[in-house]
Amino acid sequence: MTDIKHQDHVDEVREALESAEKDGISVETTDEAISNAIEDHRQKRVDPEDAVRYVSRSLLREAGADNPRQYISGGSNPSPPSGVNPQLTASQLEEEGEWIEFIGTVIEAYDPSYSEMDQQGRLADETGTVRFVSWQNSGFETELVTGETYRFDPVVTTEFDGNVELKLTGTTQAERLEGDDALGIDPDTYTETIEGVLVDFQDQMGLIERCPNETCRRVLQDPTVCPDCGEVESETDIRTKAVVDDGEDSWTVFLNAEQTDSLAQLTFEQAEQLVEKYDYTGVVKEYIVSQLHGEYIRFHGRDRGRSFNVSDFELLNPPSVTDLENVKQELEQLP
Amino acid sequence: MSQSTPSRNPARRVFAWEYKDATYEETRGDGDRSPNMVLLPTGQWAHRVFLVGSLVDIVDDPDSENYIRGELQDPTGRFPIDAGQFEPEAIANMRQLDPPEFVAVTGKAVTFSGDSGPVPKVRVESITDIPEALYDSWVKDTAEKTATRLTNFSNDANDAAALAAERYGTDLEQYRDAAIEATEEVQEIIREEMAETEPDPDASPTAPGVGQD
Repeated sequence: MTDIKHQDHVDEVREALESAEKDGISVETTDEAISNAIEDHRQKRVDPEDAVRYVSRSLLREAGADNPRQYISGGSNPSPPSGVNPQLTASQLEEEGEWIEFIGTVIEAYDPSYSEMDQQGRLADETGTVRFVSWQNSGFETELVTGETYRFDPVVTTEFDGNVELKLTGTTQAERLEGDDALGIDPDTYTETIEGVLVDFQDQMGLIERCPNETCRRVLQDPTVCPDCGEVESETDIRTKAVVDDGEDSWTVFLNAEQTDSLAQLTFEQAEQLVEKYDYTGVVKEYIVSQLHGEYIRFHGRDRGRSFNVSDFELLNPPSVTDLENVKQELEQLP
Repeated sequence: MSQSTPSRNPARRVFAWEYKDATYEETRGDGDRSPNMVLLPTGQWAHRVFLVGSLVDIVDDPDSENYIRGELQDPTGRFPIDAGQFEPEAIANMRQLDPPEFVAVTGKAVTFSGDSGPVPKVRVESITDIPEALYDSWVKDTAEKTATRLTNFSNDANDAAALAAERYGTDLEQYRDAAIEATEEVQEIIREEMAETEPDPDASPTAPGVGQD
């Protein structure tokens, strides 16, 4: 058997196509083509389970089926919700395809990334945050408002890019909780915390050139031209673009000149002296990396999935004998 | 920010005593960038590792411009590390280091063919000299992560652990004992340092930073 992506889902599309054959509808296609079509959907954040439906529908329609839906079995999700769904907190969300009850406050709503998308943003509870998404024509009608707390029941978990998120569908009931039932999370002041090591550093850090326009501030490759604003005279700035890694997850963080100085002890003047001494702009990044690689840091701010928006941070203290004793005892209690 | 690139693989924390046994390697996943992973004996896939220890050796063959290797020691053993033509910055940084030195290494977990089968090593992405205190932080961190892996080892849903048991016949006790010994060694070092800086024998045996968590 050739190794094909999404084999299970390709088989599901095949089932739909075969069930249409009894009505004389025949579709000529290859498993590879079906697999590619499913992958195209996945790239657009559509679950493979949903892609099965869309791909089957479009193939059957092309082959002349008037009502393709009758051949497509199953709903949009792996298994239907049962009567009672476990109520989980943000920190407990690990499995995809699970029907749950979730209570959270909308702390951010972003513009949809695709035209097929309806709403997206982040929900917070006392334990953390989770991304939510709803799609056009999914049947989910509630317009979620930033700052409001909702009870979602049932809602299904999905996975994208290694992160579990909530998918709001027509099955999902969203009830707005008010007064004492609301979580009391203020989107303007809400922060999360991550702890990890700076394990890697990325391009476009160190001494950089920015567009001088206050509303733009884009990092420029060519200091005389901003792709958005046209001809400009760039402003030199310092920033750090690093990867924080806690052994399970990683985030990209940006640190501005002031934050970089407080961690790496490098002022703007010192950076310029370095460049003068070595006659090489890249020395600033190298210096920051040499100071910060391997540091254990606690960051406060907003989790945005792949990146973390830093508002504040502190270096973690090295462990005390007591800290180590606690770990040792945890190990000793293991079978 | 691109939404479709796969998420970055985290850097696992593992002691040398365990890593030396991570000889099983596999290409995982069905993406375009299917990552290469080694299987840790305590049941976790590692594409990347983060290490802290003492750089005890650098071997820079003058005949091969694009290759350098070395050895990193932690409280439980040694990691072979190297860098090749795709890591020019790592090569340059390794050439500037002068063993013995405390270093932090971020690198890819890979194996090479040894005389008696595959041998795990770490392909260096970043290496820097670091203050000694980070060694202590890393040992605590790595002991905690080892404890978590050992705790999760017998979970039914832990496929990596099931495969580790099958491939290695994992004897978990030795990895637990190595982690315990590592924490004890660092405790001892901290006590000695405190004795040097604080000669008063009646002083409370606590280091700065206690109670801040």
